[in-house]
Amino acid sequence: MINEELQEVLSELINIAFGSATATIADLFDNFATLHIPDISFIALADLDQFILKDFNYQEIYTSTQQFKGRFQGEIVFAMDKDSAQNMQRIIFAEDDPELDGLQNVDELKQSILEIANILGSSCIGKLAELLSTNVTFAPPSIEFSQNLIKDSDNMAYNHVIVISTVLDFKDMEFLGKLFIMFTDEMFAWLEAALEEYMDNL
Amino acid sequence: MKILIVDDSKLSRLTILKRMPAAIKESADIFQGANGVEAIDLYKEHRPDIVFLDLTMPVMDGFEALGHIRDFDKNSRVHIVTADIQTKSQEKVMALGAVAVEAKPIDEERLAEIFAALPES
Ligand SMILES: [Mg+2]
Repeated sequence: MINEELQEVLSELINIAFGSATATIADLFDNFATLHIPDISFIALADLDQFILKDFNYQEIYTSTQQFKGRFQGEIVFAMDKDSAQNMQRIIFAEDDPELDGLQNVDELKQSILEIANILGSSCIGKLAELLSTNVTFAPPSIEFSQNLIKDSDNMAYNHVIVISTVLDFKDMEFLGKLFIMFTDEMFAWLEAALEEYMDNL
Repeated sequence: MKILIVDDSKLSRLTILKRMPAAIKESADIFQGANGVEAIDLYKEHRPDIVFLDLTMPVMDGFEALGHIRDFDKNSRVHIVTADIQTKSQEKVMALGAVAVEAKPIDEERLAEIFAALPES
């Protein structure tokens, strides 16, 4: 686990990165979001289930995952509850289309989450990478309808998770979600060094 | 010269401190706060020549603090330093009377410009 001082540094860098991601989404919706003080937690992967159960009591969770690669690499998981996802769908797609049947709706719902997850995740991580003087590339995101955030088979290598509890607080609508950034031990060490370097060069 | 820096993040306060022109840092009285209420109290107590103010803060946010500072002193010079880069936020603080909005992290060149633009006191 990184020390408290570096956690504070990382929190503010994530705050900056999240601000730029939010602006992108607000522009997309032609809307305005009130930014909140970011709620960021640093946890071991082993504690993730407990953390989610305690704090993330959603009936149905939609998750999208996206890998990022570069000197800084890992995986972003964005999780959102059903209400938020449906609100988002209403904004992204014209709501009153009589042609829509249930199946298409589900498909739209997934597309909406993917779009938001993609923007939020990639602009947040992209900005964070830029602040840490590196750059990353993104694999296309994929979406799951599932209560299992972490698929054991895929994520065995990750040991560390940064959890950003996100609120996109628009004038007429709130979207609640969580952004999980997952790292290996090796990447966590890189991140620690990059944060120290950031402080040294401030 | 008196400078007031208000941000709930120590990193962001430190960024401004470290990147401001050395000559100014050495000669100025610098005050720091971590929320909007402290911003108002420190402003009234010290009447700084320039304020760097964050928006997203606990207790009281920068929008509200800016309004109070402007009510108290219509000649105040407040630069908003923020992660909130939405156009509407910028419009809101400019309407409240901020001098300018600076995107975080603020850099040395911009800080030099800001201090160069200060009226002689
Ligand atoms: Mg802040």
